[in-house]
Amino acid sequence: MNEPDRDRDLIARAATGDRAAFTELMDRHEDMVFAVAMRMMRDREAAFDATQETFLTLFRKADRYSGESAVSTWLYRVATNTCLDLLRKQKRRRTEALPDHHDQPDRSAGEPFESVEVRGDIQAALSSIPHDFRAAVVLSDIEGLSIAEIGVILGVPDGTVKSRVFRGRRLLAEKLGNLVEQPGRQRTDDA
Amino acid sequence: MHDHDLDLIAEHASGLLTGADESRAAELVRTCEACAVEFADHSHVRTLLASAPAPTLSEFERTRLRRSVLDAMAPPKPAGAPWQRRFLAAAGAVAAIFVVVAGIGIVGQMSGGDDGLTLADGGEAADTTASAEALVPFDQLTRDAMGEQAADEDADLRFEADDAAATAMPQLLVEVGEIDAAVLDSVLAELSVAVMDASEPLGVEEAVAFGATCAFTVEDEILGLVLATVDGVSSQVFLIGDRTEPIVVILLSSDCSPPAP
Repeated sequence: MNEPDRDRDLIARAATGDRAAFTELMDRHEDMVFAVAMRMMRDREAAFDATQETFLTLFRKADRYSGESAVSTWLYRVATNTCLDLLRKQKRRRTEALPDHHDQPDRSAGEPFESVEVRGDIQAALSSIPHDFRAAVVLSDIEGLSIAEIGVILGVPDGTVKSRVFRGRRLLAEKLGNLVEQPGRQRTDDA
Repeated sequence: MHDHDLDLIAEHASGLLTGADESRAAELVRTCEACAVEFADHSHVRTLLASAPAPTLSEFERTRLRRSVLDAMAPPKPAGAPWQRRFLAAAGAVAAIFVVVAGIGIVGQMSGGDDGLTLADGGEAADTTASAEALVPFDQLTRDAMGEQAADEDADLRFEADDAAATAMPQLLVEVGEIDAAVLDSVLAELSVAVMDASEPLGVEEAVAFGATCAFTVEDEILGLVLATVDGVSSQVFLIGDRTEPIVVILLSSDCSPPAP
């Protein structure tokens, strides 16, 4: 039995309450889910919470799995949406906590270039870009998924996926640009 | 202003183009400085991200994750009073573990009729209709007992068995009742003996560390444990359950063995 078929078999059994099958499903995918969550959430505890919530959702909705896409694709979708939901809630909480006179930071300014360079922190750069761009970039450039797969996961057309990936990368390039020497790279004002 | 299609260059850097589109994009990268920068940016970021080590769960986190998810997957509690279900589990464990103290009979009565059980020999629940009239709520039982022993600084407990119950009862008392948090607190306060009060479920080790001569858990929960002396016998009162649905198990024993595996 190949990997996708094994996953389908496991999720079918998990849908009937088979804990052993669900445990094996976790065993096969928990690192992947956690890695995505870490890239999305940055904070380890938040990533853990997102991972936990992802598997709980998987269990609750196992009987709704249609089999049209791979289980891993479905898991990516659940994990990504879980992270995006948590990030929105975090943002709301932060917004609610702000005093009336608080000046909103200029997001377009991003994080100081030097701090990213000094820390060599890819994670920090990822965390500084908008959530939707981040999700697209993580799924594309870290998880290595195709544009079509990401479209299914995020529930958006391929063109939107490309747009988010490309715009996300451009923002990251500004922050990560000098982590590694790029001979000849000189961005001009009209670029 | 640069007027080339930078998304085409980004697609090229992503390996998404073929044929004429790929050739056109490659040509732009060679001939247009801004296009070359765009290509380098995308390639550079892709390389960096792809080479970043994937975060992994620590073994502790992995165990914690499994436990939390699998616990949450546990089937819903069956219909009926939770205390009743837990009581039956407790009763089986108690019967299997504890040495019965002869000559001590304790009356358990429930005022509500169907909210109590009396433990029969071997840990099997007795007919509740037969024993219902002999049952009183634990808090009432305790208060009565404390009334008799109020002057006793040792806070010994004395329970009177009525004749009918004494003949039917095993020498092991288990009294079960539902007590709300306030009543439970007052009972514990009145006992004035060593009380281990836990907001979190406790395990055997914690109970033993507290000073219990023995301890066991039912579904890994011991809400509290009281050490007392009943008719000269060191006794242990286990409060099993949670704050809203405690189950009180009074064990009259000075001896116990570890639970059977």
